[in-house]
Amino acid sequence: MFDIFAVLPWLKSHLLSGLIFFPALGCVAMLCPVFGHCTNPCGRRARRFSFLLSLVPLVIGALLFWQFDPQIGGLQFEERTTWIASFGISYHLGVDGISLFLVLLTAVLIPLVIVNSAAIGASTRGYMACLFFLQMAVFGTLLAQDLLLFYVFWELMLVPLFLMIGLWGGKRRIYATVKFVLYTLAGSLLMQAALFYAVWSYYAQSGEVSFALSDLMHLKLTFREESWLFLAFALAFGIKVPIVPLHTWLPDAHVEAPTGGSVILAGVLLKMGIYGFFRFGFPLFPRAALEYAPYLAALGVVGVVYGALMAWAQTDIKRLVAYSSVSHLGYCVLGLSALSVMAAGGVIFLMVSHGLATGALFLIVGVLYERRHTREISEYGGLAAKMPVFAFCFAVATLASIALPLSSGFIGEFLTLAGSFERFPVLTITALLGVALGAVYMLTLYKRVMFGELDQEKNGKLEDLHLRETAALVPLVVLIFWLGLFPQPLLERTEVSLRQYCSQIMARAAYLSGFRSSGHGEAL
Amino acid sequence: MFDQLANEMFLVLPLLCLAVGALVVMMLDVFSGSATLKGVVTAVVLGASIWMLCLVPSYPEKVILGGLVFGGSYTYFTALVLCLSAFLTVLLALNKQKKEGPKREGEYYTLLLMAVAGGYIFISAAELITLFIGLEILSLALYALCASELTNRSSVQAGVKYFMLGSFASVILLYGMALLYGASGSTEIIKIADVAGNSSGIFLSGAALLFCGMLFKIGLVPFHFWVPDVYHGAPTAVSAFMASGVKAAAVAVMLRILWVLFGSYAELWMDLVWWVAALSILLGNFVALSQRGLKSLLAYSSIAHAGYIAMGILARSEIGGGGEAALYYLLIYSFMTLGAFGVVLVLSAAYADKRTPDDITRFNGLATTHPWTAALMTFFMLALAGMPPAMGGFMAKFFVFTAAIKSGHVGIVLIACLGALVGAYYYLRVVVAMYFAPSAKEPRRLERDPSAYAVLALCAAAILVLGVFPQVVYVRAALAVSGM
Repeated sequence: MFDIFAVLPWLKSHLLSGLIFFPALGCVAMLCPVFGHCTNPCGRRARRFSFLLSLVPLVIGALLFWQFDPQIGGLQFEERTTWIASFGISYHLGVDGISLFLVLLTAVLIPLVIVNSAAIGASTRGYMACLFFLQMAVFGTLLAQDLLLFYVFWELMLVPLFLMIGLWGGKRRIYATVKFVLYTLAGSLLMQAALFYAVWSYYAQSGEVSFALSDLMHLKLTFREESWLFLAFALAFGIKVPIVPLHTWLPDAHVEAPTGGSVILAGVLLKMGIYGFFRFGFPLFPRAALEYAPYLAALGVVGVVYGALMAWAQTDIKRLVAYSSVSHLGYCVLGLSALSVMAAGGVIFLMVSHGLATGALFLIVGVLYERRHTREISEYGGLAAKMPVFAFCFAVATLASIALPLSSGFIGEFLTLAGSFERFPVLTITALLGVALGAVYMLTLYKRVMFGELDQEKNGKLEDLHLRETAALVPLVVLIFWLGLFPQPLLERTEVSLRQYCSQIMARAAYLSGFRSSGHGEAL
Repeated sequence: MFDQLANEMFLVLPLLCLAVGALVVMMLDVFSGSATLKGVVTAVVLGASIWMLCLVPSYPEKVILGGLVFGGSYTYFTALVLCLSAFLTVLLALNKQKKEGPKREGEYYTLLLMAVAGGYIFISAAELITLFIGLEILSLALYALCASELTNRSSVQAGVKYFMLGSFASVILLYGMALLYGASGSTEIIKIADVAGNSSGIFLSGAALLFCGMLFKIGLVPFHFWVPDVYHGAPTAVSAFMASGVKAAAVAVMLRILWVLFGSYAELWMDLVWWVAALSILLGNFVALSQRGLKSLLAYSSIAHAGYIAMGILARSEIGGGGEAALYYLLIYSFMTLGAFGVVLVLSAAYADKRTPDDITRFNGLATTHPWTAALMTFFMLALAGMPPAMGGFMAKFFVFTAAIKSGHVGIVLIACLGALVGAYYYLRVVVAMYFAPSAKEPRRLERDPSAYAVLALCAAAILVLGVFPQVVYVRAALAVSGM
């Protein structure tokens, strides 16, 4: 096999920085007046340029995928430079089987959003700048191996989405966007305090200040401390996921966000919460995590069923898709808490699949909304005859969303549920109810929008997908099938990492319990 | 003997430069009518003292000039913050002073330089009388500066109000000093500190009065009542200077008094400072929620920020590194608040004839009419809220919070987190107005004001760069504090 890194050894150690650098470059470029005045309504030049630029992270992502060594469980393509020496903070990036596919998902979704953003109207440049900024923050969050670096990128995700929803959103956009920011910030600030506490506890034990994840993994805390810190982290991640009682910002944000914002929000940002549990919540506080995992799983299942029921009751298509996200992320929380290799692999697969399917669904809602300026289900009906290509894409996304075999959703959901069954049999069976409900609400939606009588006069004139919309949807459809038919490339790249992840958590939890109970005679 | 004196005079050269500069500007006022010239000369004087302060090599604090003042890294670092904010203040209002009648800009610039010189003496004072003299020079100049917009009733009102309350605080401070002298037999800070363990009633009540006086000068709860009124009424540039430079000077002195003078009474004042910081954070942030005028909003936010800085005072440097955190915060906060007040100044100049030129609705739709101004304001608001990408604001909170947690004050960090959340809401309100609200019907005309925009750009750049590379400041601040 041709090895590009033998030719360009420099590239290998800077590949991940490239992922952060090019979107940042795009953001700065879009703020330059070269691409027309900022209120220029058409902004074609800006769109073309940003599409080309967004292909660079995609190429880097492809390189990562191709060069990723599935046999290594630890970090690959690492980069490390000291940032703030007196606090042991470094610019440390790395990718492993857990983050690789979320990186790829982000790299795939952004160009598609850009292709499909013709209808954004005023201020294309600002929109593109926000998208690039968001992409940079997401890459940084996924790649950071230093907790402060992670936290900075985590907070960076807020500002662009705040502006995106607020500037290009619907009627209640200000309410939705402020609610989104305050909710997320509330969690993040607590996480910040917990993080500092963890760092100083580590300092008290080892005599050195460090924010490196690899160092903090050796933290020894009492169970009480660990529980508090885990809860603070879980709150921040749980709001982002969102886990059910903390989910109320999500439907508002989704409904008011522009299509691109919704795609990125559902496709990528929600997964940051799950990813946070994987990377930080569980490994840093293994004992507390194991202790609270059943509650977390229960909340996940509540989310599955509640999200599905709520989705069923919606009359607004976008709100329906938003609640379906709550339901699907419930599976992720369940699988995450099960801590088995199979379930965790399923969760990663499900996150990717959900990103593709829900991304496609939001694009589809966007297509309808641009034509009719309404999202009420009752306004539609019988579109299948008028819009065949659209009907096909919608069908594929629907099937992936209800996890039909051959679609990517099936493998994700199957692995997640099968992997969770051993640890949480009752909860898993309850979650199966959600699978059934998922089929009910999605198929009902499809039936009411696409089939039946073409009774609305306005719907008679609807055009099928334009070239640009097709170009945005077809890659998603292809990926949904491809992952459904050939899951192996993904699963084999995550497996070793996840095996190591699970055994490490179990081992550390056991070690910590032993350490505390023998050392201090403390009851757990 | 003479050598030593010359050497020591060299160490107070920045102060001499400021004092002579003030006199030069006053004389210049007699001979020249050009406001810009006077402004530029003032800026040059301040620039020269900043340059000198930057050049001094770092060394520990020592008493010079026969026990009158301290010279050393700590003094120079905090004086640098003071001079820098005065320098930026001058440039910020250069244009405004030029076009405004009646022609009083000579007095304005002279008073500003006097205030900085007084602040310098205040910061460096090594004994209580010098401290008081410095404070009075600073305060008297400020009273007059607050009232310097003679045609504006609220400016005069602010001046009188500040004068009445400020003199009370000065008297309380002076009374405290007298009691301390009575209890310890000395006015020199180091000597009084040496008589530690002397916890007679006289000494303690003197200390308490001194503490209260300092709280007033910083604007911390429960002595914060003057802050919103004065910041609201005073000319915007003066408010900016008070929020940045004067606050920095007062905090610097507070830090020195608590850590050096009352260093051995830490367990007595620790709880007090804890409560003061917590209440300032809560009150400042929650009351700011209901403010419509940007200047009042920034005033309450400055109370809250003083609370965050006081968290640094809680964390003694040997244990928590709170001193360097507080100094870093002071520097960055000066840039943030100067920037925010600067945007208010630029914008409210367009509504000078209206009753509420700084109302939040004046910001409506600024992003469409003046995208760069709006972007700068957004950046300052994010910095004040402590959110990236305004890295300076984030790092400042980071240092203070970690310092507090390291020295075991977890509770106050949780309170501060709550405060930061509330703060984010009202800072975002400004962003919401600028970006999401439709602009007012009448067109908005902002003047060309290159010097003010240069200041805004400089502040934003400083926040960004010093936030991404905090080590540059932090290491120097740590050196300064360790030599206290």
